[in-house]
Amino acid sequence: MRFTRSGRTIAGDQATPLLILGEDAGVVMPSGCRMGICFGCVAPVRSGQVRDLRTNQVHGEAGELIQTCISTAATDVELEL
Amino acid sequence: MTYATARLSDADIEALGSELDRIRADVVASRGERDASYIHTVIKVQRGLEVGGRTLLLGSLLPPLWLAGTAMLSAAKILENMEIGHNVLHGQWDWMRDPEIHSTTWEWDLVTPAAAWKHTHNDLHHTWTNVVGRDRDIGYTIIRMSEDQAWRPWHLAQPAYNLLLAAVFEWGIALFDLELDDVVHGRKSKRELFDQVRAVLGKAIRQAAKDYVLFPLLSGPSAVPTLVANLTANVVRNVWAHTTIFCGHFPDGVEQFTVAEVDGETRGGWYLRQLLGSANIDGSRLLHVLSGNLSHQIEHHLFPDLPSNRYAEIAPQVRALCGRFALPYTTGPLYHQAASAWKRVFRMAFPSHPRPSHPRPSHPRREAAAVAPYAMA
Repeated sequence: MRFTRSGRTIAGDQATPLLILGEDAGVVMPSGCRMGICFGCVAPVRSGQVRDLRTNQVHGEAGELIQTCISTAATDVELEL
Repeated sequence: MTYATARLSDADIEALGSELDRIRADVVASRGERDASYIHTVIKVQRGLEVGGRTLLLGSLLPPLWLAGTAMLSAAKILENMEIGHNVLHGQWDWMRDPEIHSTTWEWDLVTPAAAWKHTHNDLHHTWTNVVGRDRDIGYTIIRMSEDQAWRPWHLAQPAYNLLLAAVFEWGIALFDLELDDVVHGRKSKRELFDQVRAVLGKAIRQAAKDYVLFPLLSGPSAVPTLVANLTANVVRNVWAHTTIFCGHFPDGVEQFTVAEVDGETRGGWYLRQLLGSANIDGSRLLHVLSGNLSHQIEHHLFPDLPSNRYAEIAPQVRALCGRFALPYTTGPLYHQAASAWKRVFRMAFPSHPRPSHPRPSHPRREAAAVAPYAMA
């Protein structure tokens, strides 16, 4: 898991939301409702795929804005944060 | 908790949640071309109305042109704010990955900047729906809309100032979104407020310049009638938005909650609160579109990020679930719901006792569940 703007790389798991992983690593993460409804936490993916915790759908294309609060890493992920 | 929810066990609430998750998943899986073409059409119609209306107003010295132009501009502003702006800012169309129609880029024809509104609305109001003390939309901090809110003498005047608020609603929202009370109580920094005030002033100047200077000047001899038309369109939009929004959570039959009641709330419990805390408006397709589908407030609060054109389609499923779990599904025609919300404005203007405190739900709920009749479905 890499946060490209803050230059941090962490070894995360595939169960913890990216928002939490980032916050725990000290990255300034935009956030809001923390339950997938407010779109206050969206951030662009640079590479990798994420899993939507609500639907289990795996998605992620370069530049796609994803909701970090309900997304976990499905592969190695780079977020532009 | 009410009679209806008192009969639900924790397992029932989670079962309800799974059913609602399934409805959501079905819509997400089938989102596509049909939905995209819906929002593209609405945007096209809105732009047509706005361009048409503003063009007619160039000749608004002639009363028929003034009337038609004002009507078209009012309709354009209503569509822009309600069916387009509100829903785009909810991220309902983010899945299209169209940077022009996206919650992160949209700016609307309303004084309050999109960013400020997304925080108070998408985050605070939608997360804490109808929780007294957490959902600031229960009266927008100036109108007393719950027995659990402390009564103050100025509330006696709230029917009058709520009427005034309806006319200037967009300015009220802009002020509300600054969360001045949070600054007073130290929950929000002065720096943050300063940045926000700058943003809202910039937006307000642009809005006023457009409607009250630029377009009137372009009208030449029709400058004054154009200015009056633009002002009228803004007021019409304000009153309409205020009316439909007040029908969402204030009519009779809608429940409010205490902070203690939502302590440890599960996803199923959150769904249940959205169901019980929202009210729909019955009406024609036109009413649904003009209200931004907030006439499907229940479906919107359950699934704030699903495309608004789908709410009418899933409403029968949601209603059937309510029947199965013996839960109320509050709805009624516009005049009825609006009158009911206004009744609350008047009732709460006078002092009243807080609601009796509710027992913690777990025990009574479980016992009663054994005799709940809804299992027949």
